Amino acid sequence: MAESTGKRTSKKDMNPALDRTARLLDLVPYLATHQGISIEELAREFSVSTSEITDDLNTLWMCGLPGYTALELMDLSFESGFVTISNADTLARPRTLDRNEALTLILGLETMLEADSSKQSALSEHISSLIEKISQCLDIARLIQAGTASSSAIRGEIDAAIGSRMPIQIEYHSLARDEVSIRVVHPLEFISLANPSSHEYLYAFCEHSQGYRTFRIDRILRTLDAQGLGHYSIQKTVTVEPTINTMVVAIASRERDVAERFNLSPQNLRADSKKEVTIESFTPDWAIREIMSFGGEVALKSPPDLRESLRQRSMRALSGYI
Amino acid sequence: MASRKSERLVNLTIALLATRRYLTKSEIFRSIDGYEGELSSMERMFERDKDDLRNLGILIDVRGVDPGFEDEPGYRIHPDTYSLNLGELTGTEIALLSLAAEAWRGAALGESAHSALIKLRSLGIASDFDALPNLSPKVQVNSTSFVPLTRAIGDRSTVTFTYRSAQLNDETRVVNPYGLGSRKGNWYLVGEDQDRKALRTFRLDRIVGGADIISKPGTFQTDPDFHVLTFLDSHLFEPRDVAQLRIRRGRGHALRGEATTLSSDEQFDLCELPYADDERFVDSILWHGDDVIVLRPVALREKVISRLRSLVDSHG
Repeated sequence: MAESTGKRTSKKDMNPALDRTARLLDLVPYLATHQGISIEELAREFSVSTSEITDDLNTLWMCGLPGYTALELMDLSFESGFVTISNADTLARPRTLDRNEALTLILGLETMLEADSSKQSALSEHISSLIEKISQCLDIARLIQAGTASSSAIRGEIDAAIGSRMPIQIEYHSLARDEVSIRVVHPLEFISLANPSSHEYLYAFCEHSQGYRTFRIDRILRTLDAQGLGHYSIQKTVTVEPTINTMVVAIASRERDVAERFNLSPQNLRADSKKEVTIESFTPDWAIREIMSFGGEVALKSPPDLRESLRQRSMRALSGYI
Repeated sequence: MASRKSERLVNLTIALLATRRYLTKSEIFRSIDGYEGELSSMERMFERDKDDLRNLGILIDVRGVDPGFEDEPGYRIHPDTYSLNLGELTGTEIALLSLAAEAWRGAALGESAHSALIKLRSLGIASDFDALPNLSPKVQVNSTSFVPLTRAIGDRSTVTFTYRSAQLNDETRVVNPYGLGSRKGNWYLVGEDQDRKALRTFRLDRIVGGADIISKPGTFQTDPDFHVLTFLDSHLFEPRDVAQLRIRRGRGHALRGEATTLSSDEQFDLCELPYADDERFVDSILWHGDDVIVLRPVALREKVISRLRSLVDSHG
C-alpha cells in the first residue's frame, strides 16, 4: 500500500549497503575529532558490534581519492585497539542533518523553552536562536512543532537528585484530593506507562506516606531546595499495598472520552451493548469526580454506598446554585 | 556485495567532493575504484549509485561540461551542500543540542536523534553544561503514526489511517497532512480530510496503529503561511469567553493557573478565567463538585445546573 517514493526513507527501510555507507561517511569526521578512541567505545557510540566496526575500518582503509595509492588513501591505524585517522580531509566535516535529524533537534529544543516566557528569558532566547539556526536545515520547521513543556527543568532537578542519590522536595498537586502538598521524596526512576496517551511518572519513596509512590510529572508544580536533608536514608520499606476499588458504570454517550479517562480497552467497551463496564481506581474519590465531570452521561451503578455518596455530592454542588 | 558497494559509494563521494570541476561519466568510470565491466553495466551501476547517494541526502550537481557538447554532462558534490554548517557553535549550544537529542531516548525518532548527536559530536566542540540549569527534556511521542506522518508532511503525500470516533468506532480517514503540533501534552495532526472536504484536527493517540502513505510526493499544495501551532491555538485553544467563578479556597488547583483572583471571602475566591471550549470547561467545573460555582456567563451557568440535575436524577 505504501508507495516507495525513494526519498529520504527512514533508517529502518534502508538497505544494509546504504546503512553501512552512511555509517562509513559519518565515521570519518567522528574519528577526525576523536583520535585514539578505542574500538569498543567507537562501536558503542555507533550502536554496532565491535566486529562490524572493525569491518567498517577495514573498508575505509581502502577508500580515498582516485589513484588509490598510499598518497591518496585515508590513513587509518587501529591494530592497537585504538583508532587514529589521517589524510581524510575531504570527508572531515560531518554530513548535513537529514530531515528527521534536524526535526529531532528542533522538537527537543522546543520542549526546553519555558512555557512562561518571563522565566529564564536569557536561556529561552538562546534556545530560540538555536532553533532558528537548525531550522535552516529543515524545510518543514513550521509544519511540525512541539509545544513548550515546562517539565524539562523539573525533570532536570529530579534527574540530578537521582544521580546524586539525594532526596528532593516537591510541590505536588494530588488529583484525587485536589490538594497541593509539599513532600520530601527519594526519587528512584522515571517510568512511562504503556497506554497510548501515556503520562510520565516519577517512582519514589515518599517520606510523607512512608512508602513507594508514583507521581505524575506534569502534576509536580515545582521542586524545592532540599539542602540539608542528607543522603538517602530509606529505612522503612513498609509499603502499603494499594487497594483497588472496582465500580460498575453505565455509559450513555461519549464512549471515547470514558475509555480514555478510565483507561478502558475500547474492545470491551464496544462489545457490551448495554454499555455497562467495570472501572478501577486506587481512590474512589478520583473516580467519583471523573464520573461527575460527565454530568449524567455516565452513571455509577455499584457499589451502592459510592453511588449514594455521588448523589449527595451532586446535590451539594447543585445547592450552590439555588 | 554490500561491502564492495559501500566502498564504491564512499570513493564516489570522496572524488565528487574533492573535485573542483565537474567530472564526466567517462572520467568517473576511468578513475574511481569499483567501476568495472561493460560500459552499459557501468552506466546502470552509476545510475543506481546516484539514486543511493540521493537517498542518503547527498546532492549531486549535474551540469553540461562544455556548452558545445550537450550530451556530455558533468557531476560533482558541492562541499557546502554536503557538510553540516551551523556557523559558529559554542560549547553551551552543543550542550543544549545534546540535551535535545537525548530527549528522544526510547521515542519514535530515537535513531535519528542518535545519528544527529554523532554528527554534532564530530564537530569537535566540547559541550559546556556549566552555564545551564539542570534540564532534562523528554519528547513524549508514542504513536506509531508519528514517523510516517512527518514524512508525508514533508513530501506532501496523502495518508490514510484508522481513527477512533467519539462513539469509539474505528473509521478510515484519507487526509492530506498539513502539519503536526503538540499542545498540553497531546500531539495533533492538522490536515484536509478528503471525504469531508474540510480541514480537521486529529489527536495522534486516537489514531489506531500507523499511517500509510498512498500518493506520490507533491500531491497537494499548502499555504506557505501555514503555521501548525498558530493554527492549533486559534482553532482549539484560543479563549472564546471569560467566565466568572467562585473557587473554594485551597481547592481548584487545575483552574487556578490561568485564573485572576478578583476578591476573596472566608470560603471562596472570586476568579475570572478565560476558556476555549464549552464542553471541556463544563466537564472541568463539574469535576470540582461544590468547590467551583459558575456565576457568569449565564448560558454556561445554566448548562452546569442542568448537568447537575441530570447527575442527581441518574443516581436517584
